[in-house]
Amino acid sequence: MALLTLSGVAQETEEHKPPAQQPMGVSTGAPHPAVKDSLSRPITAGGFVDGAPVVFTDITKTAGLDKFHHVSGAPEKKTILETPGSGVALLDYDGDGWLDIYLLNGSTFAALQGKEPAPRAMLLHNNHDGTFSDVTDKAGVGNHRWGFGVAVGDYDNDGWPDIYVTNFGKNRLYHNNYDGTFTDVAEKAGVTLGGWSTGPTWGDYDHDGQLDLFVPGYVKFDADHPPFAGQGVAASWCQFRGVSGMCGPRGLPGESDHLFHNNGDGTFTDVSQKAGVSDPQNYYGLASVFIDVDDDGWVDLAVANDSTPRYLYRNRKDGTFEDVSYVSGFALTDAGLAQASMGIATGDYNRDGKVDFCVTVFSDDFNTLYRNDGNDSFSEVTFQAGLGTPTIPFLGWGTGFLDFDNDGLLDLFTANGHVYPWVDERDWGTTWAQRPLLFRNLDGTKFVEVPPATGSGLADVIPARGAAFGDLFNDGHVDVVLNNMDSVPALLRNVVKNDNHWIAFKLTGGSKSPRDAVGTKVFLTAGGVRQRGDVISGGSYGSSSDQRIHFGLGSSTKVEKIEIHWPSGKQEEIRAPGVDRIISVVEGQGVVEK
Amino acid sequence: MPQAPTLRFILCWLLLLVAAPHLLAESPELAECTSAFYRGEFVQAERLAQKALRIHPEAAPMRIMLARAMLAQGKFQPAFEELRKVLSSDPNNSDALYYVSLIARELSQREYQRLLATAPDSDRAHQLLAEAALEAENPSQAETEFQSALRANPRSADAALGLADLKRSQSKFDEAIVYYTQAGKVGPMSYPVAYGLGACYTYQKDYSQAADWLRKAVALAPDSAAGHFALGNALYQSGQLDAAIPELKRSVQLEPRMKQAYFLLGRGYSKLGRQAEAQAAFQKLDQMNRSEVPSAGSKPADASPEQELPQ
Repeated sequence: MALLTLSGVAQETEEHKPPAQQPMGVSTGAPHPAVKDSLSRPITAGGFVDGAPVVFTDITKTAGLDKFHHVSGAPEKKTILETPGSGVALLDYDGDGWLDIYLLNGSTFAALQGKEPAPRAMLLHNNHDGTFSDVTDKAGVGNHRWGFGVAVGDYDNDGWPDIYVTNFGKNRLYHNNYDGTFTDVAEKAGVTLGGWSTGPTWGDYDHDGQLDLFVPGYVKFDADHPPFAGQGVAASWCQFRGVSGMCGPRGLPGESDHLFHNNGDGTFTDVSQKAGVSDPQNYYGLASVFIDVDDDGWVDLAVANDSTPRYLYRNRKDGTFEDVSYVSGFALTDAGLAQASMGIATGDYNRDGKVDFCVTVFSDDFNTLYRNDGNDSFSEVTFQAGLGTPTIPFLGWGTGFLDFDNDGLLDLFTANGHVYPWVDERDWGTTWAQRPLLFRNLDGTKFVEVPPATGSGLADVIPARGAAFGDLFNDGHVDVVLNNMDSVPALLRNVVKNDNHWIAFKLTGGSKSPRDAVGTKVFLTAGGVRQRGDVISGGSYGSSSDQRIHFGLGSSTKVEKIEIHWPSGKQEEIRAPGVDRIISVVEGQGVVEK
Repeated sequence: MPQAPTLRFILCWLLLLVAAPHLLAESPELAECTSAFYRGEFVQAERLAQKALRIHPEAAPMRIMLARAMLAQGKFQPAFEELRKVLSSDPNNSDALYYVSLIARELSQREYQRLLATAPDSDRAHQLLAEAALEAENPSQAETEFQSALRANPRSADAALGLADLKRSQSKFDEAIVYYTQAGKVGPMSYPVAYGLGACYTYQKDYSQAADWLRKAVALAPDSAAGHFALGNALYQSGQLDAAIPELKRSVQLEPRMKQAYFLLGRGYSKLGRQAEAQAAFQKLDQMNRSEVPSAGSKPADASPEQELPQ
């Protein structure tokens, strides 16, 4: 019998056939050898560097953000509902010029059944002095549902940012009443849904000057009968690396996606099918962003799907989208593999004027960098850019391009944390709580990891999920807020000290553009180099970042050119009165005094 | 009437004979044998089982009990023979399979030990230890043993190949290339060596070298779907789309579920302006991806293994 092949040679893998990857609930790469630091700690919770320059300082406590504690089911994470976690938004809800913070919360099965109060989200007002105050109850944005994603957008163009919250269950559209309070108008607006919605995005896809809303759907989940191995779900979908765990998403039915057209009267119409973005395949959507990929002035749509091909939809300019997911290369890796995609970063990292993507994925797999080659074509350049090997042990969620050191090149940040608490008991080189990753852009083609200085914000070992980016202290440095699973959040203040200059733009659209300028592109030339910035809503994982556009200028003290491409189609050039400041620009009026 | 009772009597005995093995399964004999086994009286358990099997040789539970008693006394080969008899009539007998796996493990360990005792520093011994370490997910130990194997026999192609594969799995492509090259020099060029080199150069973006080696690989193994896909991939990545397409097509002929090949075919066709063929490839890919996501109310999808370019 073959079992008694006593030559001892292990049964050779059939390399003549492609070796089958072990079926699991998550689509990810093959198991990789553990990577450890000099103290034999898994690199995801180690690798700290004594004496390295400190980029971020964790000021969660001093800022008062530790008032918030995220809750998502039970610590054991037996079901998929409990594992993805929640996003965070940065918005100036009261129009005082300072970014406030909105942290979504999860919930519990007992709360779903009405047996205990549901945890609440938290809106934190920026006190302008490094601290934040909880104004949730007054604002009326507690949500009290199992929250996942948030996108900020002034959908009614009244000049005040509104908030769309996605939940397991009914979603909310918090209309800003511009008096410090919000009203949930989701039912009236027709955007409630009721399944499992995730990372939404606002964007004016049809150029009518009103923000429309895209909401991805994740998994069809019955909280009264959660999926367990052998109970309606094959055991193979309920394991990771051969160890039993929560089931899914593969093996579970998916939720479809929805596009809501803004009717301009406070209501929306579901145009998903008509527009061609309804996701008939029911892939497991987790993140989305409207952004102009082909530079034709119309926002396109990217969707990160978990364990299934990603979507890229090209705006046909007639109210419909063309699915260019496969032909563009964005759907899969270069080797043709689907990934467990969680978050999307957008930015022109190579300064060629075209927006690029980076997508966070599961552990044993690499975050994927897509360079925009134009003509709806992307090249996966992860390993060439140096982002492959370092990211493999990490499980990434919220992510964004940001110029953390103001040198004029977009760097890359990812928030990390695993979904299986029991990975800590295995010697796999990954951990439940993980440190974030910051990659410095060296020259527009290559990135190098910024060493996590011991005790700094980059050395925070946390089960992070949502990540939002913005200049919280109006000091010209982009900070990061992380919403951490079952934990307090993390406010990472950017404390980089150098002589580099910066400039930021607060944009306001005219009558034919969304008032908050979502969808606007800004091209800034300084020091002979042209950079691009986009006003977006959503992206990352379930999060919404500062909608002011920030540019690092390096040593330049002058800006040669500023071109603004408004969603209306109007293009303007403005002159900056100086650098190291936030400039307000109104479409058609140029720079205005704040 | 005399005949009826006789007929009934015969029928009863027939029924008893048919049912006997099953009765024996729960019989006092099996219980006694089991009891002896758990008392640690393995010789007695073996004797009891042999006795019962002389009368009912088809009794699988008793034969498994015999095998277990023999196993406990270290009589591995006889135990294996008994289990083989069970499996010949019931190939799916899970108990028999389980004990066969125990025997296999034990016997292979003993062979390892015999080999190590006979030739402790032989390249073969170290090779086997390396492979055992790989199975135990201990790559550093595996590397140590592969290196020892090579020191014992610098001309060991197996050891060089094993080490090369290990390095490649760790993304240490420069080192892997050194060992693949070494393996290729000491023996005839083989598919694993050619494929391994091709894969390494592909990951290093040296597509010209990658394609050269992968052409050798598919020449050595013309039916290798992975080989044709890898060659097609290398050609695609280097922009040689016309050359890539036949290789990718061959790979899906050999392995119709190779999603990656359809993806590259679609992109390749699209870049060549052959949109209809591109659409067809993407449609096929889309169908396969859709089939993996169950719709609400449907039966859960069976696990279908992903296919990937081997590391």
